[in-house]
Amino acid sequence: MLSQALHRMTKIEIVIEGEQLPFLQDLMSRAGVTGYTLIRDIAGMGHHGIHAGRLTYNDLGSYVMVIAVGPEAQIGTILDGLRPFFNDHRGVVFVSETSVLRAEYFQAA
Amino acid sequence: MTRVQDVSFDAPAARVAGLVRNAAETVMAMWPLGSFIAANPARIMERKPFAEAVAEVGSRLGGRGLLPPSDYRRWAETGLIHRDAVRAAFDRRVDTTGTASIIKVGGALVPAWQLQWLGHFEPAVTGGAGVRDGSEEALLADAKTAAERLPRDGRDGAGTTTGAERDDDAMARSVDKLLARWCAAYIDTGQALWPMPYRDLGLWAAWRKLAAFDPALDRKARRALEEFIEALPLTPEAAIHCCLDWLRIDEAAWQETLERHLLRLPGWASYLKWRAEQASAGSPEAAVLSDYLAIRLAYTTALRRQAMPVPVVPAADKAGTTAHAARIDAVAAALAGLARNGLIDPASLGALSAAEVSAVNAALEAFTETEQSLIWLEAHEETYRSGLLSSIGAALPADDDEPAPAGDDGDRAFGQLVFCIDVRSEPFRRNLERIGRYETLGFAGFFGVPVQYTAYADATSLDVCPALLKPRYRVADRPSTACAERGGHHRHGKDRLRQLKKVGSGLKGGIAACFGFVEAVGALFAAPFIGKTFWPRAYIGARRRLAERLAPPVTFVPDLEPRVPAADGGHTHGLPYGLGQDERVFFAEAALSAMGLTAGFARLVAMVGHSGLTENNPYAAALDCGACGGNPGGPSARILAAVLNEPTVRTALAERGIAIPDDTLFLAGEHNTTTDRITIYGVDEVAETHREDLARLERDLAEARRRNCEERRARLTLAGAAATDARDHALERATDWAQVRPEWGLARNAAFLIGPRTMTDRLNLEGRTFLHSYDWTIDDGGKALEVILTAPMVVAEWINTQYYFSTVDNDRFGSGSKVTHNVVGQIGVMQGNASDLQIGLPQQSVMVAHGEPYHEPLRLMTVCLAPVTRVVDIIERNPILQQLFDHEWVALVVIEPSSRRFLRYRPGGKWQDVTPGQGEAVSPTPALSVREREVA
Repeated sequence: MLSQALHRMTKIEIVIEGEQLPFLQDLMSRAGVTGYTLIRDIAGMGHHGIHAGRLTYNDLGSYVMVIAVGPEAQIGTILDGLRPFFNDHRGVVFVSETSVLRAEYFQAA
Repeated sequence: MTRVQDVSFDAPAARVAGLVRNAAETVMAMWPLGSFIAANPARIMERKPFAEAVAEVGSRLGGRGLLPPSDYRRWAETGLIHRDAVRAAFDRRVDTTGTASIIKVGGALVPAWQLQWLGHFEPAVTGGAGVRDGSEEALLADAKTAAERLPRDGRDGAGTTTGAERDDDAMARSVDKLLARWCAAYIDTGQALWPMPYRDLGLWAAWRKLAAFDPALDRKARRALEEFIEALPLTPEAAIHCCLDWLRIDEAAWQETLERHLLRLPGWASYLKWRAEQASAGSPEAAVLSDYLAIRLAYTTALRRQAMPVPVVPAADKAGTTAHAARIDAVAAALAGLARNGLIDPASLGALSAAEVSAVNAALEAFTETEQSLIWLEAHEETYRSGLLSSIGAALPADDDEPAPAGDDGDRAFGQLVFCIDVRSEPFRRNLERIGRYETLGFAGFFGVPVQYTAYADATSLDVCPALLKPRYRVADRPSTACAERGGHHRHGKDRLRQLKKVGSGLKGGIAACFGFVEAVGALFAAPFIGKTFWPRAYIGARRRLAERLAPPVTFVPDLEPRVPAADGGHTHGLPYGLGQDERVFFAEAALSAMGLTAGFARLVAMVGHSGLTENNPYAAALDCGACGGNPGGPSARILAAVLNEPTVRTALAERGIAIPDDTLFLAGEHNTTTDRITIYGVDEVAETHREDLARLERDLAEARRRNCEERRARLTLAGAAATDARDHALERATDWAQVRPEWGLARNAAFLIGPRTMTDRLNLEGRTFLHSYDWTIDDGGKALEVILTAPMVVAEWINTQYYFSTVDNDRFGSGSKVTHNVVGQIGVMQGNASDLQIGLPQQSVMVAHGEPYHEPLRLMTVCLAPVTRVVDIIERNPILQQLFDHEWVALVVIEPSSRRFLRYRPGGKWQDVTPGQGEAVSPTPALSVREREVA
């Protein structure tokens, strides 16, 4: 069976303004998340209309997406930090169940 | 890699971290002095429409958002603000049709708005225009006598604060004082000889260990504080949580409380915010704002719980206002206006009752200073803008006088020079163009290459790109091939100089060494002191010659070859070294297309960066290039020129449709904006074929310098006035170590113009406009225009708002007088020894004298020659532009190329025709007296 070879984890996907990335990186690091995937200059559409992707000479105005996977408690801590943050900032966050092959890879030592 | 997990960073702490980030948006990150970046200190307010935002600046950020009406009235009296514009702004903002509020005065019924116009605006805009005859004098005297019947009210003098508020204020002031000193000790970047212990643990952890030794507290307080700290958690956010609980602050008010604490010392909060954003994630420094707030709240809680006694800090004196006299003047003006316009009988002035005078005063006071100033601001802007738009409209060439593309060499320009968009480039460009057939262009002064640059044999690197960008590559200088041998001498000399300096400052500042050092060589220090004071230019020259002897000058070229750098202790931040072929072609094409220079190349094309020259000036970087992160622009210019001279890059560009002739040589230079000298790099190595062109260019640059110095001299009076040659005058200011105003920097900036030079080359724009070259005909899809609007224009808006707020409230948003500045930790200045860190520009950068602005604080107006549909598309896909334009922090006018109509963007995506001479930019003054009579 596929599931027997895998370990349950929680995945968080966060879209925020590039300018806010240092805050998010610090929050994740302090919550114990050991790694993440970062996609810069993303495009999309939301409450504030269409957002174009890359701005050649402006890193702050573009949006970034961060994908991180970890045990539920760690992802929960990130969400606790993001809840008040999104009262005042633009962006979205998605949380889902996921499975990984190497559990030790996603847990802080 | 393993990491020690911060075990106490739990859910409540994470929540506090999110709130701290929200609260931190009330301050703008402040760069250290060495790379002074102009930014909007009230940036959080950009989330709201400007008119609403400036009205709230006081309550939200604690400062003024507008100049007081008295400043505008003074300008209106000198004709700087036109009457028509004032009346148009008044009519836009005030309902002059309704009859809701009617005042009975002198037997007549007068609407409140009419009194407001007559009392607050009319006298300033008609002042001096008409001849005052005897009857007018008598009328004014009668009105004044009547107005003096206004009873004094109880608001003057006595404050309205309660005892509890005063206690809170005293407590907050002592916390401020304690915090300012801890911050100064913690942030030092090399000025202190005795650095603060435990700094590497972070501010909160270090303070926990040291707070109980603070000599500013007495023994009892120290012991009490030590006990109190013991009870606080190690994680700063958890400590904040504890203190807020202890202080019994409702959780809904936590963010507001944190904001209030940050805004007690906005300068320190701004700088710490910058530090946090530079730090690597998870390091103690990344949470330094939480650390700072934890300390503030710990002191506050300790004081509130009477765990320690309140140290006494005297309150700053607040000058009493003479509001009553101002009220009388406004009432007198309104009454005289009524009589003059026949609305009341002049004879009735003598019989007015105190109640009637009070009613007039009440109507006038109902119109707040903020409302008045907003009208004045809009009128001021409209006066400038309508003038600018009319002159652009008049000078705009007709389609058929577009210059034909260069055919034979006889039409070819002597040279093309690409300057920074900085407002200081415009006068120089104009003066140069009028000397010979030169074409000049405007482009962001980092020339589109975001790099971290290291000068030859230098230990430090500079991020020479706008604050909006992080550098993506590293580039270092190397000696040119011809200078390869001398390069070694240069390096040795530079090392020696550095060592000498280090030993000297070590001996000078060492606790024991300084005594012997002063005895032995102290007298030698008299030479520079006397030299700098009495013969500054000779002294600077001698100093330069000495440095050149030790480290002989060498021609440097940027080393662009990609390679793996030698181990450098992790300073590279993972940036690749050098630029690969693809990147070189990308940057070359992006820059040339964005500036609209893709054909018609001259034999010489120079990229000209810029920097300022000043002595003994902590704000030196504010005179350098903003697009280069407050650094000199020469290195960026050299990189782009080097890239464009490469045959392989040119081949690749030709394949992309940009054919650069073989005889075109790219040069790099630097414009010294203080002395107006332009240095062209590597002139000794220019090939024989271009020597003649170069000689002509240098001759013409020298003449342009003379003319521009002459032009600028008129605006810079006082010091150096004795010099007969304007160039000497400029040099004297640049080298004088007592000079507080070497040049005016970007003061008076007011517009950002995007288009070909033909749109503006016939105009004298007085150094008030950012000029960005742009050719809509070669920009398919509007990509170049999108780059210009989302990056250089945003930087210009940062600069514009920095100058705006530094002028309207220099105490809160500027840095006060340079005379009393105290440089701290090489990062900022304080006023005195334990003040807030000062943000923004010094008073001398924006004021002629105390309280007399030189900079006219106007919001930026962007004017752009491009199809309006293209602009609409770009705005639609960029929220940053929507915010700036819809909230009216920047005005936008698009000149439609096909119809030559001027279209002004209005909030919500509407367009208004403001074509000069035809539009309704400033509606004519309505016949005031007729309407007034109807109402009366």
